[in-house]
Amino acid sequence: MMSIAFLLLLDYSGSMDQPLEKSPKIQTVKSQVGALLSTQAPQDNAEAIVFGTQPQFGCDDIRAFKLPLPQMSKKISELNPGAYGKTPLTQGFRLLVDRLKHNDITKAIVITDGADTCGENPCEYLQKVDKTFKKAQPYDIYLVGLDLKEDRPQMECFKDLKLNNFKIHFADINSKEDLLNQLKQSQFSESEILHEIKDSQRTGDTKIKIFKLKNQAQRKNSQSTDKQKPDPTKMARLEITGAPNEAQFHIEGAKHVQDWKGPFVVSVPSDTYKIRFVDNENGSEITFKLAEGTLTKIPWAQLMKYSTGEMQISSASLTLRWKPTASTQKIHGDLKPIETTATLGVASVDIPKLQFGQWDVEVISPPWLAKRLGPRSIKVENHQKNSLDLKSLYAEDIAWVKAPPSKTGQVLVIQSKDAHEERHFIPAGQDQFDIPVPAKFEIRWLSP
Amino acid sequence: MTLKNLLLVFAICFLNGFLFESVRAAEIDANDLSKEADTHLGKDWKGILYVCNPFCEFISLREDKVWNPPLNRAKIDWNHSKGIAESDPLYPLLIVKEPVFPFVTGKVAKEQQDKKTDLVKPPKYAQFDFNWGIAISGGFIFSQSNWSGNTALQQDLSSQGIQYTPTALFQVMKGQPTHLFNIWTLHQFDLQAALSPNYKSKDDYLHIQNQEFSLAYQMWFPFPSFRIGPRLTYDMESWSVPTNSLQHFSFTRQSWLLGVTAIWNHWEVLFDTSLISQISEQQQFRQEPFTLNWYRLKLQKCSPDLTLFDVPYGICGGVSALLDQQKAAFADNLLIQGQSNLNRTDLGAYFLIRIGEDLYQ
Repeated sequence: MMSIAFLLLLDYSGSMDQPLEKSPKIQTVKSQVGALLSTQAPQDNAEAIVFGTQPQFGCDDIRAFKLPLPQMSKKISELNPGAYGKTPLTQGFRLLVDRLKHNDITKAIVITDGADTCGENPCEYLQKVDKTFKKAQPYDIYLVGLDLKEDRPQMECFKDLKLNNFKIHFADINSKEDLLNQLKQSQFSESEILHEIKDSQRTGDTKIKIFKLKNQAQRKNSQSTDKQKPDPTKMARLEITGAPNEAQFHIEGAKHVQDWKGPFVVSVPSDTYKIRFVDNENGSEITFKLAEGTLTKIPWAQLMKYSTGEMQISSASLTLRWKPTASTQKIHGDLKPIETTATLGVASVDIPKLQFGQWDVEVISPPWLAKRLGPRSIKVENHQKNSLDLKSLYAEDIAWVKAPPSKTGQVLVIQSKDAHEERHFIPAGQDQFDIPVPAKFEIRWLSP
Repeated sequence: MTLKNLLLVFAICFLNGFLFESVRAAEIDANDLSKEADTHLGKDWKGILYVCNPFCEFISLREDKVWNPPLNRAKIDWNHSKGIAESDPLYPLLIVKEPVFPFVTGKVAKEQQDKKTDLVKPPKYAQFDFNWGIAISGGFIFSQSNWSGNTALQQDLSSQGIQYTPTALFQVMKGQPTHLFNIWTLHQFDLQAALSPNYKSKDDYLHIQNQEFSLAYQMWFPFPSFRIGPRLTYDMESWSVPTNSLQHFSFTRQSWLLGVTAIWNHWEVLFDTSLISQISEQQQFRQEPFTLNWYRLKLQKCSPDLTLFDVPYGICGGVSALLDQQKAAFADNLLIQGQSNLNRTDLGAYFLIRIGEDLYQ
């Protein structure tokens, strides 16, 4: 039996050139799979079965490659979908099962955006082949249905497929984030985490988190039978959370050096390492001990020289709550929401620096606007002067009005279309400023 | 007592204790805040407490000695607090609506609840600038009338080509809406007269006069971009033939019509049908019981206000279709067996020039 690090079955049919979240699906797959492959030692091999690259061969358009990881990554990146190609998914599974039997790997990753178009049913094939042999531990097949659209019903058979020799982990997904999560799941399951280790001496005031992993006995489904490879539970694992697929990292210890890309988990021998984000402009390095049987999660921003952006708010007469999105939380570690208080009568204000990434911004004052407006997504660029014009941001939902002159204060009446009425106190002096009110409601002013 | 029961008793005691302690802590904090409020606002101060940073957010109301809702440490910011005392002229304006009103108790609450409907101001789309709007329109109806029946006399009433009928319309509308089960409603009355003095029928020797008067009540349910509502019309039309010809065929018909009208962007569509109809003939050509059906569809477009020599006016044009079905037994004295079947279809177009309020906006 041969040893390989990854076994892949990838769809390169023409439909993979269609966009998903503004970029072609195949580009997303290439980028994420490339990052995944980079997590293993460069001398390891991988096998890839691809279909759809040579549409002139119709249902025989299947190719298999066995290459060292760096070349495999290059090959996957160079191949392109063929226009109007067939999807011989069942034939692909046929070859995949053959390669599983001839290698000592126990899991495979399958990514496709469509069902078989060559008149065969992959579920029926797997049921049939399942009866022809017996294996103590079933093969894990991580099957990703990427943006299946109208092919979804044909792929649903995988959901309830009960087999003895194959465990199908089918995910029907529609986003880049979901694909990343599925690939991460195929590589490292969060269920392997036992608990978090609170070690402030090691983590200090950083956002680094350390988790104790289950040992061999606690892991019911041991994945590897390779006697030559180190026991994964004896290794230390490391994840740079929130990193994009292109981000390059370098780890260097006394006995082990490794480079990889992206947010996937890498396994290294337990040691103290210098861990670096390889970026001339913004990359920085930390020294950290990675202990045996643990997973260390380092937020990407911890490996940067700078990770915040300035923010200037124009027409800042709204009090806002800034809530980091899940992706921003991953980049920076646990971030708490912040509030920026409304300021009246100034053209713009500079607020404290914000961690770069995507934030959900919500109006919390004035009270007559709070909860009436949904959150807006704002991107804060790293190490840049960002600007936000609230009048433009809420152009459709907020009208900015002047209150009549009043020395004693007055009442703002807001009435909805169903005649529901609210009355709010506007203190003396605010008649000099533009008051934000809901655009689609009627307003009027009352004075004694 | 089993171990399970013991554990259950322990859990209940623990939860009780925890809840009691939590409630107790909240009470202590509320008391402390109440004392702080006395320091800042004065003992026995009554009024509405806001925190204004910079916009004012309602925190609590003190009508008697109790803060309602209880003061909350997370919301209190004495540096930005602002009190509207009970004696402040703004106080009565603020307590009658949300967010303060739900926390008002006692007499004021009851009075406001009673007056709640009166205090609600209708939205802009549910009201007009006028209290009573009056419009007078005049114009012509051009129509082709086709009568088919089982006697030659009836068929002779069909028009020779297109006939014209001068018409006048008087409209009154209440500009301010009223409430009907929490729905805003507007009300309108239309009085219309049409007189065709020289109707030319297929029989050249027949001189027919056709008149129609109607009085309609229109209820509107206004919406932001359109209004729609039921229409009840009392309609009276008469067809009369001079005594020296076919006098026996003159008849008057009175009907109560029920329909629905919609107006949007100066377009109007109306469909109505008869609820109750009655025919009286000058000479009893037919006899009761009558089966009378009436289906009418109108589509009209009006201009917004135009101006000529500083006089505002508007122009309306429309098309209409009418199906009128009449069935009755022949009168006994005619010595004719069977039933009279009469169907009339009118297809027409009309235009009106209006002065007064624009009621089609």
